[in-house]
Amino acid sequence: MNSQNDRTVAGEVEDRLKDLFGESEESPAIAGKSDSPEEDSPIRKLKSTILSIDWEISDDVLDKLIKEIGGLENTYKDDKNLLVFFQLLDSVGKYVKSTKANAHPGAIRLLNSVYNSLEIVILSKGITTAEKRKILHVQVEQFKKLKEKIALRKAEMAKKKEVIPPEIKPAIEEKEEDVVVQVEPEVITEKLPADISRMTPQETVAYVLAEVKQLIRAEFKALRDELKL
Amino acid sequence: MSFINFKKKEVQVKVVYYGPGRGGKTTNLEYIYSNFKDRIKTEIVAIKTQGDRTLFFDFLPFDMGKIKGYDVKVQLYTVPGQVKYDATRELVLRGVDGVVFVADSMEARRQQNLQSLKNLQENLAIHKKSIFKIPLVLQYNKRDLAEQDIPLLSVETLEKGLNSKLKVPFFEASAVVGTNVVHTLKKIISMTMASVENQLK
Repeated sequence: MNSQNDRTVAGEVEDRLKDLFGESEESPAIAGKSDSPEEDSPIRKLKSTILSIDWEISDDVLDKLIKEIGGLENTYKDDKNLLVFFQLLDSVGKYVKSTKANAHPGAIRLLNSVYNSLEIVILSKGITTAEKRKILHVQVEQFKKLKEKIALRKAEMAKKKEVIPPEIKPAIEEKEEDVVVQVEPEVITEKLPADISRMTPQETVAYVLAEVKQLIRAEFKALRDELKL
Repeated sequence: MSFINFKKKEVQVKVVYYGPGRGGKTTNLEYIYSNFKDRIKTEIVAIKTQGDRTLFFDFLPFDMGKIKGYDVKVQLYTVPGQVKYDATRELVLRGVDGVVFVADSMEARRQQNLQSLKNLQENLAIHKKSIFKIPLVLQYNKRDLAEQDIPLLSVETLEKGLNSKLKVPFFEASAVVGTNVVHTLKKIISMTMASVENQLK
C-alpha cells in the first residue's frame, strides 16, 4: 500500500466496510423501560441477581440470591410447584457459594435454566398445573444429573488423591473435595469424613476444624431462629 | 504488527476483543457472524468449556476485498475473560493490531472492568505495545439491561473510570440486540488500517 495515498486508502476502507456491513447500521435505540411482564413481578430482583452471577462469584451476590429466594418462598408459600423451584435455586446457590470458582460449571448453567423455567411458570398466562409440573420435572431431572456429575467428579478427585505419595500430598486440601451430594432432601451439602482413625494428623486437624465450624454454624442458626421467634 | 506479504499483495490485520468475563466479547462476534455471514462468507471458530464459556478464544476471519491492490484480511479474536486464563490472553495478543475493549456496564462489574483494562495494558506491554498507542475502541456493553431495571454504571462513570486517560472512541452498545456492534467493528478496522498505513510510512 502506498503511503502517499492516505486519504484514498481511508476512503477505500470506508467503502469496503460499507459494502460488507451496510451504509449505516440500524442501531436499534436503547430504549427506556419495556412493557415486559416481569417488570412488575416479584421475581424481577431475582433475575437481576442471577444475571449478576458469573464466574467471579462473590459472597455478596450469593447472599443476595439466597435472601431473594427466601423472600420469594414466603411470597409464594401456597404454591408447592414454585416452592420446589426455589428449593432448587437455593440448593444450587448454596453449593456455588460454598465452592465458589471451583463449582461445577453446570451449576451456573442450571441456575440460569431453573430461573428461566421459573419465569415461564410465573409469567405465562393461562399455564396449567400439569404444564407447570412438566417444566418443573425437567429442572428437577437436570438438578439430579448435576448432583451425579458432582459426585462423579468428587470420586475421581478422591481416586487421584489416593495415588499421590504421602510426601508430596498437598498440605491444604481443596474445599471442593469435601463436597458431596445428598440424595435426600434436595440440598447439596458438605459432608465430612467419618473415620478419624484412618486419617493423617493433617486430615484429623482439618476434620476437627470443620466439625467445630459446623457446630458454630448450627449454634448461630439456632440462635437466629430463636431471635426470630 | 500486521502481516504484510508484498509478493502476494496481502495484508492481514488482527483485532482482539478484550474485556472481563461474561462482558459480551463472544456475543459481539456471534452477532457479526450471524448477521453478515452471507457477505463475509466465513465461519466462526469457537472453543468453549462445558459451561459455554470461552476456553481459548473465538476466531472470526474475513476478507475485506482489495484496497489499493492489496487483499485485506481481517481476523477477529476474543480472549477468555476469566482471570485464570491470563496466559491465553497474553498469547492471543501476540501480533495484535487493534483492540476493542468490551466493558460490562453492570454496576456490579465496575471493578472487573478496571482490572481487565489494567490487565490489557500489562499484557500489551509484554509484547512491547502501549495501550496509549495501539488502535483502541471502548465498548460499553449491556446498555439494554437498563430496561430490566438492572443497575448500570452511567456512561460518565465508565468514561471517568476507563477512558479519562486513554481518550479513545467509545460506543454504548448491546451485543445481544446488536446495538452499535457494527459501529464498533467499523471504527476499530478504520483505526487499525490507518495505523498500519502509518507504520508503513
